Amino acid sequence: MKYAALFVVLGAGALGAQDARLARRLDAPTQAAVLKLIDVARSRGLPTEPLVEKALEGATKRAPREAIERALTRRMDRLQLSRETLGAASSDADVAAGATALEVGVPTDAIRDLRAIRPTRSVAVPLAVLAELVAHGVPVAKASQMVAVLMRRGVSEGQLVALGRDVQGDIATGASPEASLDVRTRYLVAMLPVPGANNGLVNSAIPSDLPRKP
Amino acid sequence: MRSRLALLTLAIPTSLAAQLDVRLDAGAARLSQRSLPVRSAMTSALTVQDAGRAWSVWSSALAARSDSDATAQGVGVATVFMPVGNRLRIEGGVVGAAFGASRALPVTAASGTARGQLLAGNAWIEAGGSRGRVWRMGSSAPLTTISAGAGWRRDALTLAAGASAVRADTRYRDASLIARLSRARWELGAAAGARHTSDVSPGDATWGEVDAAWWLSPRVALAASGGRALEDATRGVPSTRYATVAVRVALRSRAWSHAATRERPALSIEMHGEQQLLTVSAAGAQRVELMADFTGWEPVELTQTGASFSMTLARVAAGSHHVAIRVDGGAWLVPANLSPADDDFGGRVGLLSVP
Repeated sequence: MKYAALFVVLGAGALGAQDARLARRLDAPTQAAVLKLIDVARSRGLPTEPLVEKALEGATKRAPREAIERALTRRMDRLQLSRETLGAASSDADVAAGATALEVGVPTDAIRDLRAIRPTRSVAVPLAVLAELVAHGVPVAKASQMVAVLMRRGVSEGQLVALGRDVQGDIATGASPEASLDVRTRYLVAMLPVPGANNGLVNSAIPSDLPRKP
Repeated sequence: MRSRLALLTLAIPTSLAAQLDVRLDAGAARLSQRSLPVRSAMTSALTVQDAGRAWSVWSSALAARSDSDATAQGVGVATVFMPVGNRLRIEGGVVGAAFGASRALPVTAASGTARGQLLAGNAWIEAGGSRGRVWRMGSSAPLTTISAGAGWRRDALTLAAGASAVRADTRYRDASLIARLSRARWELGAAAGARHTSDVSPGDATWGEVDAAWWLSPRVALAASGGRALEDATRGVPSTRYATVAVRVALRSRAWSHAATRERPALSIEMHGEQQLLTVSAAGAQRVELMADFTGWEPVELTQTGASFSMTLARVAAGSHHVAIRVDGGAWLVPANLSPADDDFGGRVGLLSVP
């Protein structure tokens, strides 16, 4: 009971902070419209901070009220779909990363696959890297498959982010997104410990779960 | 009346120029100074700043000569900047100045200056002072100034207000307002102020100045300025009404051509102890700002170190973040190494993955 009261106090504090930011940056009619949408999101159990951030982004970019409302509605729909895809117990960070992945064209099946690999751990970073790769022109199917392979091999989140950065660097120098991801993933997989090997000191050849060119 | 014009120039070692941000103005002026006839003059100004913004040197010179008289004036300012943490900056410097007219002894002045600036988001407050001497008519007097001010900068607009008290062979108090707007290809500035002098009558006077520059190319601009300046006891310069036009040459390309002539800036984020260090590499840029979901979409100016600009962040949550950067007040950009995504407002943002 004591913790529930603390949660209520902390929650109210966070909401108050959100309101203060919105009040400072939005005119009264826009603020009222945004708060209404945030209430809807809260009633659905969706994270509200991504909506506050989108409203603040609209304010900074001097978007009219209608544009801010449209942007928030779109983001709320994606958050909703993300939560449905990832599961009701997913963290706010996972749901937000899933929404960003949906935003750039990652299908729900691919998001569901990543959740299946990590049913209890956060998938925020794998989803973020997947979204990055797809936004940079890597075919969705290829990017999803590669990220899934790496997750199964126990890649760290830092390694995954570095992979996304390396692929972007290759693309910037003229490499094809698909070819770059192929090469970088194979290189990274070769560096990862074979599951079950002692101390991870035994490096593998290209593992059998990595897709091969026909 | 036949005028013969002379230009005073200052030189710097060319071997250093590549490491420095150098601007040279050369032009003509029409001016009226107290007790002297209206005349034309040639002007020059030189600004040298190192790429790391650790120090700067600024100087200007003006010379005019007619059948009946000649005048010359010059001022040089050297300043060292020392950041203390992310919020405090300390400056120290020296100022030397001289004004001479034919058939009169020159007036010279020299002083040391110190100033502290406390930064808070887009705003700052500052306080400082100087001590020195003024030599006039064969005698000298101590020179003391104290000053305080505040400013605010948002996007390309800078506003500042200040007040100072000067005690030399005369005493006065100044108040001033300054506005500057810097866009990709042009710059505008305006300043105005009022002075109260306690030991002369009438004791109150006002002044105002405007200036503008239009960049014809990444390295060449046309500049113009005009207005009324009151006597500057700290530099020995009499009150002056003036109008100038000049050609400005920069040794380094101005950033409006950044997108066309250089690679777009790239952004990286690394762990730095318990915090994260966000770095933007933007060679040739003078100012880089970032806004992102983790700044509440408030533009934040990054701290320059050489060709890189950085900021330390409290732990940003793992996952996907949206960011945009801006160089020298230009358009908001997606960093070159980040994937672009629609922002739902008709623009683009960069996707940043944080482990």
